[in-house]
Amino acid sequence: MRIVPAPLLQRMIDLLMRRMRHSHPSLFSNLALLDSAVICVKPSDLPHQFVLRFGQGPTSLSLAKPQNPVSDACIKGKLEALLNLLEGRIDSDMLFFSRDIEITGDTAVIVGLRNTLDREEINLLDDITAMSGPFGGPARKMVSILNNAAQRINQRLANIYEESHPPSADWQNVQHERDELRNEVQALKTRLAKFETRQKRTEAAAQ
Amino acid sequence: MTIGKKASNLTIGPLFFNWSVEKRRDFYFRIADEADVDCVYVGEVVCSKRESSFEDHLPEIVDRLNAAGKEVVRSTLALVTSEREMNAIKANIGYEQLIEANDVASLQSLKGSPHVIGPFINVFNETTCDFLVRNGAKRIVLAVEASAAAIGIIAAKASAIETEVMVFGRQPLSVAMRCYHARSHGLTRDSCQFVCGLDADGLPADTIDGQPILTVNGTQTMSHGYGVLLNELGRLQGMGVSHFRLSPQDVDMVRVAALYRAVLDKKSTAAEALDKLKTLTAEVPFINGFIHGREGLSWVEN
Amino acid sequence: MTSSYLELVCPAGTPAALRAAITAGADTVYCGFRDCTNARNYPGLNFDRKEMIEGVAYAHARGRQVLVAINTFPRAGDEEPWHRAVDAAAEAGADAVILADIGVLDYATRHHPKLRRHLSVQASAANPMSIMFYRDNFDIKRVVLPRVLSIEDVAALIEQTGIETEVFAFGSVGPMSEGRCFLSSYMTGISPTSEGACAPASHVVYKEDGGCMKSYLGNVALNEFAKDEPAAYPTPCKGRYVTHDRASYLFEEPIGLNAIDILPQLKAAGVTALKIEGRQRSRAYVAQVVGTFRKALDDLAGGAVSVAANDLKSVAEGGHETFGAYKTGWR
Repeated sequence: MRIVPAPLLQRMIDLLMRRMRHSHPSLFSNLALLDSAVICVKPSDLPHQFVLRFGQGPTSLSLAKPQNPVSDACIKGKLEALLNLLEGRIDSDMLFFSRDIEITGDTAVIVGLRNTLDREEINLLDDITAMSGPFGGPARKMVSILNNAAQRINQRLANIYEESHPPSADWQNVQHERDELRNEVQALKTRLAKFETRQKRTEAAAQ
Repeated sequence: MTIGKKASNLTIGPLFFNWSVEKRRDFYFRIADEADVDCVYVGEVVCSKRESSFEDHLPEIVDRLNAAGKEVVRSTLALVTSEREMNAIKANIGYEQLIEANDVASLQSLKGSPHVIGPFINVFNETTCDFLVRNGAKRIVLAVEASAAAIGIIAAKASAIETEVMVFGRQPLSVAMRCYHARSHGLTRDSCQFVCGLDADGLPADTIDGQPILTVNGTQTMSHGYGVLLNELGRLQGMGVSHFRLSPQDVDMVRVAALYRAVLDKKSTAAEALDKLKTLTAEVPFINGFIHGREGLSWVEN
Repeated sequence: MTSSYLELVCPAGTPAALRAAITAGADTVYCGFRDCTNARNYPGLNFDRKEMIEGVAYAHARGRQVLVAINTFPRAGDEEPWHRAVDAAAEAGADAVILADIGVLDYATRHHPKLRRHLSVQASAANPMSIMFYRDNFDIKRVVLPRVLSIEDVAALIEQTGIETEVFAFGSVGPMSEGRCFLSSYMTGISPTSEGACAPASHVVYKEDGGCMKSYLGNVALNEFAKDEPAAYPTPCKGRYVTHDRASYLFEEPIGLNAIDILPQLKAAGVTALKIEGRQRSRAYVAQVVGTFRKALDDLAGGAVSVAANDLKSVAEGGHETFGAYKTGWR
């Protein structure tokens, strides 16, 4: 992506948006139902930022010219996470819990957009494959790179889970010990709390 | 007795806090002997574990209040789950006293006999109000969240029902199974040591920025500020609200009652009463947002 | 009313999520109209009347059911939207409506006696006496039980009432008695009970502060998360508060409820249906959670001793799971 010059990227975005207006008309009519808003999309691993406008008036996606464009809200995260979100492949709350995406500004605007996107079954590759003209080729290549990236992120999440849940007997022992220690700490805490409470009562009675 | 009386009645709501038996008895005796109030609600609303400690002393409190000419209403638990709690509810209903139902659990047994619907049963609209009146409700205490608009519409049915609004005290915001008072001490509800008894006016819970925001009282969560609807009393009277509730706090409730009585009787202005109230309530801020349709924690000048 | 089959009841915030839930194996889907009549009134979410009709038809064509949640409490003087919602659910051919307000229950009983009525968790009916009140007055056929009961409580309640019960199997741990919690309106002025939005997004603000993320509800600082620390929902009951000079999760940690490992016990208790929470979550969540529970239930029905591998931790709130009130000690 880094090698894509800004003007070329903007032309590709324009073509993609035109294509999506054809393939997902209800997405655009639903976006028009929301309150007018400007969202800054910041892929943390790209040199570019994007500005998404929707609500009353036409929906548009453009490259942000100044470094910090004026917006109602910002959404920040790795491009892979953002694309997965767009296609509804990963749960956004999960990305939020895990801090893979961060949002700032008017949260209602982001929630409205998220819910509206989620109404639509979007497959970017299909839309881009259907694109013709001089950008069809490079765009398809770009998407296949992104798709691989998306698979990688899913794989990474699965790996993280497996790493933290190895089925070995050792690990089970560790877990067992941890649970026992936890219970013991809790029991001690309870005893301490009871002691403190008694102390407080005695002090209060002495006054 | 105040039944059918259209004047403005002042009431003392159920004591939410876990005061010692002595403190509790002194409080009710003083209310009986000195407070110019029409009706007093007694009984545990928050946690059934507290009930046994003062149940024995309740009859003498009720007698003293009755002898002083106060209407006495028996309040019941706001969240009923166990067999024991259900039996307690049924036992209460057996007495001749007027009951304040705070969980729908009571409504079946109360069907056909006059009762009060407490603020923990949601009565948000006319259809619900009508249904409960048909079931036997004679008075409805509105939830603290109710706006003036909602109170006005429900109170407009005043010919069929008495309406009560809480006008003083920390506003109850939620009830739970879990005891947060115990939890804050590293204990659980089952091992609670009755730590709620350590805080006669509740346990303050602040935000991470140090702003006082909530008050924990056992399984109940309340506002930090005292709800104070002195400025709104005249408007509520005009709407037909018949009962005005003072919720017991660890302040001089007899003097609080006198201030409210004077404003209800137009013998004092709300502004004068507010100034005097501030001298009784130390640093606790006043709030009145809910009735103005705003954040409950806010204060709206009239 | 003990049945050998556990019905899987799944959330749908959008028509796409409804299709995803059915594809993933939901027996029943529940959804709401796009207004304040349901307890998940968030921007961009829920069904308009046409979508509801289509959704019901889609489900029925595949032998599945649709429940319509009309589970908020009408404001005084403005009950019309709730009554129209009940009418619209009946018109769409919904299999049942999930109601909480006594007034709405009364309306539905009188105007749509044949439309099946379920009692919403928002009615906070946590004991047999309350349930019998609703059953005797409004002929409710099923009650969605509050998340404050243990398995033993649930079993006793089923035995005493004989009514169909639906219990939460996956979602949030709700520490407060639902339907009568005013914490969110205390901080925002917007009532979850009548306007259907707890911690409405319009009042939620996140601020970055030197690597930390701080969340606010209205003007109230709710929480602060160090870099990479799991985040919580910005609801008042999942905030950190300071008591005894110490900040802590006073009410509940950011943790999700997951009952997948105690399905046999829930079944033995006589539960009729399992509810997956999350109409406000995405369809990816719906597909993943419903798929996992479908497999677990199929394994259970097939006599498997242990259920399918549980890999739902990543979609659970805060990335952690609990049995909530089902197991003793939670209190």
